[in-house]
Amino acid sequence: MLTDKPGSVEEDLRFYKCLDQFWHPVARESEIGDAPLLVVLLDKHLTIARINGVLVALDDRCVHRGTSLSLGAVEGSCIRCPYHGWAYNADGEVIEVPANPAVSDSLSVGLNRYQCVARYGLVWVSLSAQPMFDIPVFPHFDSSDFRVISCDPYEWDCASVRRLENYVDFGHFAWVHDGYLGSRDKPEVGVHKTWREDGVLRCEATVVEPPSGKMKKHLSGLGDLITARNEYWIYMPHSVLLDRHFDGGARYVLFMTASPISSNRTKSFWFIGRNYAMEPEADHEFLDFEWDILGQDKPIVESLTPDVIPSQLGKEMYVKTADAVTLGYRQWLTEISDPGAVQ
Amino acid sequence: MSSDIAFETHLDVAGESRLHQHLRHFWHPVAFSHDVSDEEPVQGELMGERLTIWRHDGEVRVFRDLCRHRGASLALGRIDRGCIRCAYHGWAYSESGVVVDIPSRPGIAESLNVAVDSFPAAESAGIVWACLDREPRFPVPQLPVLDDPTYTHLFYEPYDWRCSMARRVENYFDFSHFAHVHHGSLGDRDDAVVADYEVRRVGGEIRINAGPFLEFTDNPKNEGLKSGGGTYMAWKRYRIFMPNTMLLHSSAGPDGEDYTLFVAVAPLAPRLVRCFTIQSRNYAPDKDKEFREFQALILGQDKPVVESQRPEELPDDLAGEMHVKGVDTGTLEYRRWLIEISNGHYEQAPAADGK
Repeated sequence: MLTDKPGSVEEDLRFYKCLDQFWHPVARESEIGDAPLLVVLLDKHLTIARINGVLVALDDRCVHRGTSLSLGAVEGSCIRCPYHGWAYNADGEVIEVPANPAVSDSLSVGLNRYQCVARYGLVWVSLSAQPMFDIPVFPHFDSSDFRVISCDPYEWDCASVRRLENYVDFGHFAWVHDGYLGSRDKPEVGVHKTWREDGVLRCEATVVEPPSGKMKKHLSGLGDLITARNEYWIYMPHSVLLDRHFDGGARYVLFMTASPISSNRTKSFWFIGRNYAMEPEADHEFLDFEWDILGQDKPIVESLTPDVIPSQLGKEMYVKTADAVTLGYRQWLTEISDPGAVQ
Repeated sequence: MSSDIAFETHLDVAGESRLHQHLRHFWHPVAFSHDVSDEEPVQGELMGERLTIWRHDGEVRVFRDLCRHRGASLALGRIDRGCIRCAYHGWAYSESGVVVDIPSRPGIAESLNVAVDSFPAAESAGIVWACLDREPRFPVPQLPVLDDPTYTHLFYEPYDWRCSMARRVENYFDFSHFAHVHHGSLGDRDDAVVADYEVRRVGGEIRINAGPFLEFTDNPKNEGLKSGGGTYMAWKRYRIFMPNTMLLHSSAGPDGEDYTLFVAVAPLAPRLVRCFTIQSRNYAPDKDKEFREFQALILGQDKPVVESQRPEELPDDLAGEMHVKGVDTGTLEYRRWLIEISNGHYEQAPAADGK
């Protein structure tokens, strides 16, 4: 009997199951055309459609024979199932059963409708009627001081909480991103000031690092080392805004918001913003750099076991200062997933 | 605080495994007869169990596809003087499954007394059937029209779908989907109302008489049926051989045209079926190519819809989905019977009067 993957026998899903209390991005707005779109959020299949100009999120499963409604069509003010033509209005109520029109009016069943809005060019859904926090704030998106690229989303075989942790894991830069975001010759992690503000875990640190190629090219007057003040906003449960301030007023911004498809599959939507080298022709240089970084992280993050962070925090180890943000994040997740357990 | 997340993307493993456990007591199709020769074995599968199918003295044999020595697939082997010989180390099995030769140590096979599992096998309707239990419960489905020389028979290439057996079978006698999924070929969206029809159990079968359905004549199935105007009213008689086979008899045209479709669905594994389809007709004998194209059109319309259905198995509880009175009567009766089977009740209904 092989049991080579510790934790794989009994997966602790507490930090997964608590995620239905939040807004999550599920698609890019541009994907919602005339036809309904299937998305999977927290193992739930949803149909996203635009009905009379309004974004609508419904259960994707026709109540009649369990067909995926996203294979159907938007017709006027309803979505019609492809199998037997049952029609649902924007509230998910059955309004027509073509095989027996008389029953349409007497039916009081329907599909769940969920809150659904567009922001930053993304479609956001909350499975909860009262999400715990608002949609993350990404002020640079509409600012004329910044050029913001809406990047192609990517899917990794990992838990969404592990995806977030990787973003704010300061100990890994020197190893995984040696020569890109850090150096193995200088793996020590300095103190990161960490605190909470409303629904946000804040963190700030000033780092001195060798500049990457793109910085050298676009930020003039750099020496062998540059100083950057990194400001992080971690929006619970797993969106992060990083605003990097360089000497001379240049700023580089990353916004990443993770969408939990299932407990071991995550789709990440992300943006790059900058207030220098704003010509569109320079976009690909920043994109190439970030895709390199993602390619370095992906195999590592997908290998993490167990998939979801164990809810008993003592099952993994924490390094003082280097893992302070991770620990602060996990403590907050603990409070969210089991409010009674924390005094 | 947090609500339970419904794991919709996950298969109902317990429910399916219970049904599959009971389906072991029934006949299932594993290959077309014409694909099983006495020259080389072929591989099949039923409910996750890999099978070797071969022929000995004209009789079909179905073994567990697992050499007792090192677990190799016997279907990769060859038929050698009435035995099946494993491809890996040459162990030979007799027609009853007993190891009769171990080439690396001649003479020890006799003293070993080792055999591979051999399952009940039968041939009917041009198909090899197997049962994973010693005592198959219901009769093997029959297709008498195959013996009628005035008919043309078309054996479609078997195909696999990512769905459950029950979802696949139901699709055939799901009367309200024709107007929508097959709009323009087997139905019309603007004529979607389904008339009441008759459903009863006879022996191990469900029998249904339904219709009339509006069909179009601009396809090979109906173009020989002269009714004028491009449309045609079809009556359909079904025999559903529990739990996995259906025979559709579509009403004859004015000159006695007759059309039948026989479909046997094998549950290969979770979310996976293999479908064996035989079409018989006493008209348009030279239209095989057109019929194949028509079949491809219809299957292409059904496949994405049926593969999308959740849960993959039918809900254990009839109230898990909705049923339209008078419209879903046939599929409801099929579900009731499947639920009886998955609870271990295998009783057949009385035979038809006077037959």
